Amino acid sequence: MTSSVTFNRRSALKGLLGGGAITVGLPLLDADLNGNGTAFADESPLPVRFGTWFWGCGMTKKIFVPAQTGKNYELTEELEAIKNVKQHINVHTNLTAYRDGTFFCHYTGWVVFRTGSAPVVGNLPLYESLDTTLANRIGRTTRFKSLTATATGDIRNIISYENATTPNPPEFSPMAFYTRLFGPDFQDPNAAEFKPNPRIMMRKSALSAVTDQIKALNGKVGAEDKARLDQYFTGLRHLEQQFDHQLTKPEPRAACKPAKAFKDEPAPGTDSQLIAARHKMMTDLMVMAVACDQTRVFNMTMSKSDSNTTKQGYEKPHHTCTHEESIDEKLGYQPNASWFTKRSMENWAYFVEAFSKIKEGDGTLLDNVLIMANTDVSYARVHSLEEMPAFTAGRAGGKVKTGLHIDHKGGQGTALSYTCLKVMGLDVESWGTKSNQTNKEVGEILA
Amino acid sequence: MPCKPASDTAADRACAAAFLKEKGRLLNRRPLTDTELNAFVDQAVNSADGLKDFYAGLSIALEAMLVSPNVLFVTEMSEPDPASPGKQRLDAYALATRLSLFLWNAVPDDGLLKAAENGELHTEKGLVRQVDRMLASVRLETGMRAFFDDMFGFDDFNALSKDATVYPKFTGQAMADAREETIRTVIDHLVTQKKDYRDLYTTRSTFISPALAVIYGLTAPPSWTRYEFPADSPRAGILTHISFLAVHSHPGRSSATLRGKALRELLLCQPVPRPPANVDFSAVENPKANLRTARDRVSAHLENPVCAGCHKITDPMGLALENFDGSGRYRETERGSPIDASGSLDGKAFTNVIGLGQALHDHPALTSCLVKRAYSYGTGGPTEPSDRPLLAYLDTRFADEGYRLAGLLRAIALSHSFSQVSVPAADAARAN
Amino acid sequence: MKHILAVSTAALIAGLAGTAAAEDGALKDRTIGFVLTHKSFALWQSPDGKKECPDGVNVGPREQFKALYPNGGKFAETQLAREAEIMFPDTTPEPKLFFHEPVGKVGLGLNLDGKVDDNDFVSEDGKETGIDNQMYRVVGCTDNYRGPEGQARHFIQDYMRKFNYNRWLIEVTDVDDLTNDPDVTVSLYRGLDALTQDAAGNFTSGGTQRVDVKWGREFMYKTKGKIEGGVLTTTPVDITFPESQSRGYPYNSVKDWRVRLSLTSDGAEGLMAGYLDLERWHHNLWQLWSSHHRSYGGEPVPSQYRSLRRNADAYPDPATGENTHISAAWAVKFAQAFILHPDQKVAEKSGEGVTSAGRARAAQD
Repeated sequence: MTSSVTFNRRSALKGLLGGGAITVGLPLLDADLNGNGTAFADESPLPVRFGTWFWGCGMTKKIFVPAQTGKNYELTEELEAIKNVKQHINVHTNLTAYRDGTFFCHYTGWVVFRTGSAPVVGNLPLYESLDTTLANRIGRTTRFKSLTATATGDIRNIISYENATTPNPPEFSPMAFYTRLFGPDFQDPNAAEFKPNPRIMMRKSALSAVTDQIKALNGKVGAEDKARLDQYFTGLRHLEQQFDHQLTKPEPRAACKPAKAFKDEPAPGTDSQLIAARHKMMTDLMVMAVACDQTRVFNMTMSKSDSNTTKQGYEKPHHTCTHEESIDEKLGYQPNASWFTKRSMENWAYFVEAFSKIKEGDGTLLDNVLIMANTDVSYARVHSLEEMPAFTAGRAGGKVKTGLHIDHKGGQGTALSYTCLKVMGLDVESWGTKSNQTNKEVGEILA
Repeated sequence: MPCKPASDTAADRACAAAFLKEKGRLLNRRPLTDTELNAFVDQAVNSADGLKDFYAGLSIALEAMLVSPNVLFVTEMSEPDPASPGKQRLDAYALATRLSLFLWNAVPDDGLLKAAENGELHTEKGLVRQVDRMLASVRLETGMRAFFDDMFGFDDFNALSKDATVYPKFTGQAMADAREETIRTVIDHLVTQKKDYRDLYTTRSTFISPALAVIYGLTAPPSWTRYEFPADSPRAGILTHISFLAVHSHPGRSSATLRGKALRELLLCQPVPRPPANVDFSAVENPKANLRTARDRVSAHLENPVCAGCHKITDPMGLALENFDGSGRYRETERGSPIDASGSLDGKAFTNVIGLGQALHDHPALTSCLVKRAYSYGTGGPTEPSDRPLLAYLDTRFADEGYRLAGLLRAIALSHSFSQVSVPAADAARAN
Repeated sequence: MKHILAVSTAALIAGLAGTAAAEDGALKDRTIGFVLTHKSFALWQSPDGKKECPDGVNVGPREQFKALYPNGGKFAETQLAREAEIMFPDTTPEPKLFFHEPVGKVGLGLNLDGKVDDNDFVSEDGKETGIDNQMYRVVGCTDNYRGPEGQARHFIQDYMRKFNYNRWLIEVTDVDDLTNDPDVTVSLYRGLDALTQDAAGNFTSGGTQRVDVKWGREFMYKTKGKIEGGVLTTTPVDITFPESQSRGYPYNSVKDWRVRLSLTSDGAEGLMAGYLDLERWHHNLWQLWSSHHRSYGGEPVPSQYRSLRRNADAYPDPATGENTHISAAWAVKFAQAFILHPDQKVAEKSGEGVTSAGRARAAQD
């Protein structure tokens, strides 16, 4: 070896041809077997789950952003609604989403947070959203890889993308969502009877053929190649153990108590009370789906990005209001636009509280989830992507501290998303592209 | 699908076998043995029976194949070499894969697999025919892009970040374009125009994009434009590209040491020792106010004998690049003091970066380093002292070819060492 | 190219003098280009808006509709009728409605006619008189145009980022010195390329703009100018320029157009002014654009049209005697850009030659 330089590919190998007649080189593919492995390593009765929550049209800085940072911050007018869950939440302010060229008023901002990249075409992201990245990682052992729902009653309100061109349409009807979750296909983890999934049985059986292949190789290679194979073999073992896990009668989940089916659901419509009612039903279902371990990745939309929520007795829908309403001279802000933000915060508080009310282990379900909440703009009137707000909620199994207000001082919004990905076990050196590419973690919230 | 199953809801052994045989050959880069194939087909059949779904059965078998070690790992098998009794050579499939990864950065195509199957690859003529076919293919560009990106350590771009307040014009687009500019220039120079490798370090030809033009201070329409740095420009050679200058700098300042180190290690294959663990960085990180330029600051290295040993290797070259800031933008002064870009490379003195490029061009290690890099990249391991005679031979061949890349690749791919394996007899016996 | 010799000499002198010309390589071959990045009507605003709009700002279409038709009515006779007024405007009085125009004498803009008339404005410090900007009377009390958050103002700005058809270039040639030069040539073009942004997403200098010689021919003009103390002023010329708006491909025409811009090698900032073709403006901004954008900024277009006609102060129609143009001023910002003409070889001018001027400019960084 004459050089201390290491390369990321084949030249990093040592003694490839010296050791034996059969040598195993570096992986040909960037195989992420350990993705499943890590997920399994986390496999405990109380896995950590990831969720997102979305609200449209941002906030009003002067009555949203707390004056203090850290633990003892005072709630502001627009944040008053979160007082009961303040200790479970982190308020993130002053984040930036970079446009990197063109700009789609109510699309670019949230897509940067969710996919790490500014879109170059309206209504099409460049990459999958982060919930999909995590679902591919931690969502393989549950009945649903991920679940997405919206309180708007409108299936077009997309928040999750499987890839650049495949949106994950949301559940928009509480009754239909109930049936999907707890209808005839639901296998109650607390039921006496357990029926293993035949497809999983077959997949496990197929894996044994592969295991034989690797044993045959292992006998022939040199020590270093053997170590490389061992690492891979460990990955395969994890996959096998995951299958075993799914073929074993699940641990009873004390918290899993699905309610009865709904007899009725709110009529279609955008009135804020209808949305709140729908949001409550969807949230209760989502919380129970998580408690029953039907999914480990979930997304909830409260209002769409250019929110069309309406207020009784007021003619302008939320988005229109943000543009049209004059700033009240005495208050110094747009009162009705702020009214909508306050309703959003009430719903957010409900969402967080719902997780905190479910007992799990020694704590609550919320202790074992990480939720990221974000929006499309900072100040909707001028579509600003500077000074953007976001939240995280839950302690991610003890990995995250809560109860804080963090002023990001104009830092990248993607740093927050990246932190969530890292907390959830994704091992990547950076995330996002161009100006939104980051390798910074929000250290303040890491326990 | 090469066939249609008799029923969608039941197993069809013949059809499953046909599918898995065909896909298995491409995925494994060799035909599956009967035992291997049967194992997968059994899975497909059993699963299809159990699930009453032909395609579900097939997908389960395919999933198993995709996570199998033979697909995921490059496994090189050897066999006795009939031409050299007592020696081992790569078997034909291993050779096909090695060639293909080397020249195309891809798995073998049908033609290469056929040449392995019918024994052509193990004949001298057949090997020449395949290597020449690969060198003439447009896929060579993909392969060489991967090689040079690897050799230049450009994966550092994946984690590169610049302080936007210091370098506001160094945008994310500029970062992506900088990497492409250099690779594009290399491909154009070496693959398309088949020019002398050494001239890459002096050439004024390049390609610019709008995002790069903002940093270069140039005019450029959308997309990529071929551009010739004028004779009075301080830019010549890929060392003066934004890529090299920015990637080997700190987020908010340039670094003569990082640049010098990269140049030594990446381009001349001369390792630079790591700094000692107890190094005191205060002299360079909190420079005294009178140390205005990088040269003033790094001279602190040379006063300290612990530092001087290594910094003498890196700094005199790195300082020649000081006319370019940490984003690769040209400058003539630093903090108001004029920049002195003179230096020397292994005894050859120069006054500016153009001189550095020329010194590099004329440095014997420049070409022998490429030979070494290409050989170890192609064979999948570092070179060993025992490779010296071969490397010396390849050096000569490279020179004979006028330092044309294709000639070097051909010489490597056709060399006995490329397809031979030196294996202790005992191991060979065990393996067989 | 014939001026090259002169350039280096001039640049050297400028460099030694430490003037703007020496700061950067933006001035090449006695030429510097700029691309428009910001444009809004030049409106003088007091801190609380009370001085110029004591009765408040105008209301939008929804509010006017309520005032006109408190009990609603048939679609064609109410909503459609009101919309029709935008397409077929008239100047008959509107007794049920009000329209606020700024009061007072303070205003922004340039003296277009060289005279000081009764209806002219004075600058806030009183030093400039005779400012012609009757457009301020029309739009000065309408939220859509007022800073900083006026919605038309915001969207017009947003469209500069989003669309390229409104790209507008000023090229200053025959420049010996960016600080003082009694005789320069100023050319206007439409550009083809997106605005260059820095790492933070702000518009920045150093980008390249190709001249649109196909559909942009109607936007090409040439006039003379002079630079005094780093400020460029130009000889009046009648022009048409591409407007920033999202519907259709609008443009505006201005007679006696001129600028007053502070120049640096990074950009230019100041005012442009002239007599705006009012019918064209009304058509491009409000016949082409949507009602909801009028509502966003409380802009009652039929009433505003009446104000436009009432305040119009130039170029009377020979047949009717009615003025067809209105004095107006815009606050504008430009970023330096390299302007690429179709006959020009790409990237032929290096910005990095090791020159004595370069040394001098680097010394200032």
